[in-house]
Amino acid sequence: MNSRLTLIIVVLLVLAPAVWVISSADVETPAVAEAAAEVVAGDTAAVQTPPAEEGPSSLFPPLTLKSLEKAAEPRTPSIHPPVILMDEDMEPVIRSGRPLSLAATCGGCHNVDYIARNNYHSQVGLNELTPPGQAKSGRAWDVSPGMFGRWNPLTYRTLSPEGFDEIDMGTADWIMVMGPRHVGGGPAVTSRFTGRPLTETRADDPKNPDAFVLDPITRKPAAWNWQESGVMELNCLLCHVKDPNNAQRVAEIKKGRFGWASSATLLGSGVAERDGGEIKWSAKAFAEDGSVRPEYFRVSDPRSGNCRICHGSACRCSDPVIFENSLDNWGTETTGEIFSPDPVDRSGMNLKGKESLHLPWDVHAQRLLQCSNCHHSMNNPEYNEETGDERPGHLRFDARKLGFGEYLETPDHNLAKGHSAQGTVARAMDGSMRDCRDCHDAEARHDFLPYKKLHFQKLSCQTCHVQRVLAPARMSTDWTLLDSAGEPLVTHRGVRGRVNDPASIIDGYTPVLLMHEEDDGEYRLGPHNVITSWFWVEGDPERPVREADLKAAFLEKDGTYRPEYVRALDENGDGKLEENELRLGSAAKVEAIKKLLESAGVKAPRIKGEIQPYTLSHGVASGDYALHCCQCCHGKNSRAIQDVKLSDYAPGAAEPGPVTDARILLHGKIETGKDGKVYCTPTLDPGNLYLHGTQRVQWLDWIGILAVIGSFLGVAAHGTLRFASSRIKKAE
Amino acid sequence: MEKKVWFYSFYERIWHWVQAIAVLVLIMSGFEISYAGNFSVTGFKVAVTLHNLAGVILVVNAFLALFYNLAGGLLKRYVPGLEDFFTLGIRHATYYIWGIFVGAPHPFDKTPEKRLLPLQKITYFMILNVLLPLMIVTGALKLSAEVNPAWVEYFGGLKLLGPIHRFGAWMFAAFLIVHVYMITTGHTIFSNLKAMVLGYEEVHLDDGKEG
Amino acid sequence: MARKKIYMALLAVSLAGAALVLGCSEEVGPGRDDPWRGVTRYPDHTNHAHLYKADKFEDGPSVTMACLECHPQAADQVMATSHWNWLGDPETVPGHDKPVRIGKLNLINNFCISIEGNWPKCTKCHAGYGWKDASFDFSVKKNVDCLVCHDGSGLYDKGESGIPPKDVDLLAAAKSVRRPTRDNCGYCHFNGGGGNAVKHGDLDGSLAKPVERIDVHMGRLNLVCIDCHKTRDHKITGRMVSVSATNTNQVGCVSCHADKPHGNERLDGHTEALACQTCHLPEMAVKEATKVAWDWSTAGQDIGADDPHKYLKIKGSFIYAKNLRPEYFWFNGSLERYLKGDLIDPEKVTQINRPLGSIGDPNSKIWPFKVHRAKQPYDVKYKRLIVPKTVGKGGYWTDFDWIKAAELGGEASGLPFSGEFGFTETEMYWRLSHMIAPKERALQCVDCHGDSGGMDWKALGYDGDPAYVGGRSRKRVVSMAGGTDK
Repeated sequence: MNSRLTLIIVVLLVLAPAVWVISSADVETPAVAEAAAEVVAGDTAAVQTPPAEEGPSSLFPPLTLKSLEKAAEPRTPSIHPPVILMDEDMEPVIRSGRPLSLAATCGGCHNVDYIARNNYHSQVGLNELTPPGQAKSGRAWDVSPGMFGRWNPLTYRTLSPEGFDEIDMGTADWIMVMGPRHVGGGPAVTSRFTGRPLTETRADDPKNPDAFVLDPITRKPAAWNWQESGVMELNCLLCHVKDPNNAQRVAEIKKGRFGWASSATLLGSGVAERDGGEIKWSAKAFAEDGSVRPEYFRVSDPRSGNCRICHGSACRCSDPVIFENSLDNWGTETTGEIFSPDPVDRSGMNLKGKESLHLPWDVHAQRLLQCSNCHHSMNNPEYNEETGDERPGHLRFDARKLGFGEYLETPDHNLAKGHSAQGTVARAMDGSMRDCRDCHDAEARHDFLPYKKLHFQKLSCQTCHVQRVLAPARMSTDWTLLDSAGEPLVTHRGVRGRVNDPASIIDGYTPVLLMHEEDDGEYRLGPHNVITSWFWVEGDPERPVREADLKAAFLEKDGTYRPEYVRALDENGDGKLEENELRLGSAAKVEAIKKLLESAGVKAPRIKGEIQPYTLSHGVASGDYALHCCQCCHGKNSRAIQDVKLSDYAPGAAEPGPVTDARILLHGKIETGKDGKVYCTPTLDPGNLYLHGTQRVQWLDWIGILAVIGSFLGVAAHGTLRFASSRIKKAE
Repeated sequence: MEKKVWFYSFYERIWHWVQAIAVLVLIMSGFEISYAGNFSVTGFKVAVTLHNLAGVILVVNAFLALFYNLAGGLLKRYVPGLEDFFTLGIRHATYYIWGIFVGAPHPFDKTPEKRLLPLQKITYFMILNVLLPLMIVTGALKLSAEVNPAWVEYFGGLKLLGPIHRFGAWMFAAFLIVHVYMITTGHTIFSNLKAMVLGYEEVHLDDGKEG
Repeated sequence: MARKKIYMALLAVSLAGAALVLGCSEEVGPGRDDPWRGVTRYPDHTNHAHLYKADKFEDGPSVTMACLECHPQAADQVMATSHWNWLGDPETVPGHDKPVRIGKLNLINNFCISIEGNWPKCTKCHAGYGWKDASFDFSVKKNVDCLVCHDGSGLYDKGESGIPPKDVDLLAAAKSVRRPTRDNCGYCHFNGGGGNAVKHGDLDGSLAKPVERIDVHMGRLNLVCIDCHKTRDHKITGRMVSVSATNTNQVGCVSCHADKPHGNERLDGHTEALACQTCHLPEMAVKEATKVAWDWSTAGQDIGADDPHKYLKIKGSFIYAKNLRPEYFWFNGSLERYLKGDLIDPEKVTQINRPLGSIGDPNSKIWPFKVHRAKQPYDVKYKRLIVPKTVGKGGYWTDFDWIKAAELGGEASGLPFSGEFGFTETEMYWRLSHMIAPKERALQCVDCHGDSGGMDWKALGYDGDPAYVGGRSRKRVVSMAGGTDK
């Protein structure tokens, strides 16, 4: 009787745990890891696109098939009427031979003044200038939130203010340094002080940065002749013709021939040719009336290939695809994002586990979207639509939109933008773009996800859809020392070995999740790269030590290290600087370098560290490659609280602090670890977040645990006593 | 001569074991959710689904029992009287502290009508009126985020609800340990368990105790 | 008791409700596509190793006779198929009046042109023994070649007229018989055109043991030919557009796969206009280069060196290519067919087997094709393609004399030769269906649409890129709501 009963009890007690164990299949394997398991054995041959036709071999008689000769692809005629290229005096350039003026050329039909004013790509902060010390970035030397006036540790040089103490970057310097990534117009045409054209600058004030540039040899101001250089006008061609010649444009800018920058954009298209140093217009490309023949000049809406000129890595490139990290490839250098439709597994990059990465670099690029589909002109009638907040409740559609004709005359060139940490210019436009949720109904998918709405409320879409960045991105920039090339010390994340070295394995990186303010005012966790920078500052109010001063202190005129510099850093005394010696790891080295700087005229230099977050929004993966693993966030290994390496070392043990204009809650401690590397340990405290499995209230937990342990001990003691007493009774 | 004394109706037994399984599943899956990454039995996602499912079953089952007891007029047997806290409670406690070891007879006759002992009444009263409602309310609010996360925010957010729910879970676990142990303190070690499985106890009727 | 029932009912309802909650939270996948239902699982083939009385087989027919002892129907079945007759059932070829039987036996292509007059070399791949001239008797059972399809030793071989060379161990081959594998089918079909990978573009020796990059069905899933080309009574399903003209007896993806299997509305929408192969066969000749052009007019020159992928004195100049993007045409299953004796316009490119179909034909879909372009001899006076004798005595490959080759070929094929020849261009189409890539490598949006697509939409009959102007059946409807509230 009793044994049967015991059996029933055992069955009942086992039932629940058995159900538990039976269903213990792990369903959380991330898709990428799963795919990594199926490596194709012996199948590593890269796919080559064959030549469409093999060239005839000299040895063998050639084929004589006419059907092999494919008809030349007919050029789609441009919808744009023929254009008469004109100089600033409205003379056709083919007659005058002078530089092209796009204000004159395009201004006949389009309101170029309106376009220049409503254009943060051109203004880059000129219309948002603030007095020094009041910029939102928190830097004492910043005067705007844009590229013109907001210092960037990657490009380093500082725009000199009015009444500068020592000149670092005059306005003409700025064009030469930043112009390669600036479309022209704005501060490249107009004086920030007078609002008049820079060509009217007078050199009578020795402290006017419009009138002077830095002489890198003497480190003293040198007068600039605007009449000779011209100004760099807003370059419509850079965005509106296919394959503009940016290399030649940059060459003109670097030479200080700003007036010719627009014209140089047409080199190589047949419209203009270089003749010695000069740019000449080619007669064959022009019709009688001075207009360009349509086959030479095709105006279109901006394609992704145009945007990539400045923003980097957005193209359907040749096969195999290789993207390089450099400041010319700005977007990829700062974030590792690549906006390309090509499949990752067929790229030419040395990616870890490449053969299983069957995803495009960016799914939107692969699915035919151009940059301008999301970053559209604000008054483009194709996109412009009153949102629910603005539209009266009874109207489903408001027909009173700008017509296409009016739009073409006054197109708003403030392109719709997102709300990234790094997009500090034109913050008023933040969130104006068509973002994920404007096109996608997230709730129509994601059926696998418990608590969809809660997740969508607390996470940006990119958290899961940019779960891993496949290309390297910059991690730190150290301007406290210069290397033998006169460059700062730079490190990258996501690559084992040197960046851009074909032998280095690129393993990508997992972005750090930071609380980021989005345009609806909500803070959401979103993926970021953080770039930490160290640099010397001097003076009061402080400003970065000039690059020219660093070079003068550290390098000889021929660019080699000065002996004092080597002595200050050389630990093993071999007279050479190895990589591990080239860092300010000890107080003695800091002091020695400080002395060197002081000897070059720098007053009381000190090291400052700064963290700039970069929001990741491109390089989006489709659902198949998005984050599906719950425990990536829920659990003790949650990526929301993982230590983030900021830098391999902290020069002079300086502690970096975040910039203050990133709309980011950089929550967590920044510490130098025992390994000497600098880490940020995020906490989730500031946000109203509770990550199950990750967060707990320690003391409350302990009370509970003690209650359970206490119960167990009490029960065990009582049971033992009962057992003992029954034995005693039995014995009696 | 043995007689079957019926304590628990078929429904009551089914109810009890459904609830028992639900609580076990809740505690185990809840543990997996809370300590995700330290170990994995079902995986996080399955644990969440199981937890929500078991929670719903437990709540529905609890309300069914409420209805059963209300309709049957049985509710008062769960309400401790004043004497349960004092005279009877003390006598009951004394038995556990002393009597049980020296082989003293059980101070209370367990009858189908008075099946809950004083301390049991007090414990169940606390659980049913404090712990269970706390867990149901916090749990239901958390579950409501599936429909509208704003409700959670209105009641203090997960940051408040999460730790409370978790603390309650520890309390439940503590109760469970004591509860399982107390089962063994019946006439024989297994008599209470047997009663909850089969519905009756076999009582020796050799001393003419029954009228 | 009644009360108990009510409680039980309530409990049941609550459990059902809970189960519903669990059920709804289950992931709903695109799992309705269940291709394995289309694949037959065969039992192991009987081991024949100990079944033969003879300790040696003298020749092929004696093996066949041994087979027929136990499989008396087999020869009759094979002799009813096109693998034996090299002729299909009578069909009305588009552009021609009367139904005709066409097949390798009597057709002209733009590779080696025709078997007529050249039997011994061509019939090496005949499923029979001894077809060396037009007098071959198609009714002799013992001449059926069982081994070419059923040999499992891997050592079986066929020589001229399909007769195994002396050194082939026929007993070993007979002992090894089994259900045909890729190697058996591939013995002929991988080598169409006289060498590995020459003809098809999607069939070559790399499919014997393919990795999944080359063919997902044969590589990842290890399917064999007859898993798809289902065979009953030795009649193998499927047909090649190079030797037939009508749309019957097809094998298709939807035999196993759902017709809208993607779980993605946008992709499923493409199935209205595209064959599966169009996207899932992004490249042909994945591993081995295939012949895409052949210029017979340069043949016969003594340049002292031959390169089978560039130039052979006997054949002329070639182009081979691999990893080649197919060409795309509307196709409704039927083809034009140039038949022996049809008139040509030598100034134009003669279409040997142009696929029929158009954007306006609801039965047409866009299919991927390999197009083989050639320049081959034609009769200048009679304006028709020449059937030259190439093989053997008096053949072009022996004497390098087109006149003699055309005369002898004319005798063999019944097409008198006027004495004047020239070279004209022809195009031949090879529909692609094998070498299906894993889905991860299928074509993506940008591979056809948008700036970089490179498709000739106008040639396909569209007004422009259908991603923007709409497809043939889709109507763009203007949204009345003007967008929804955010």
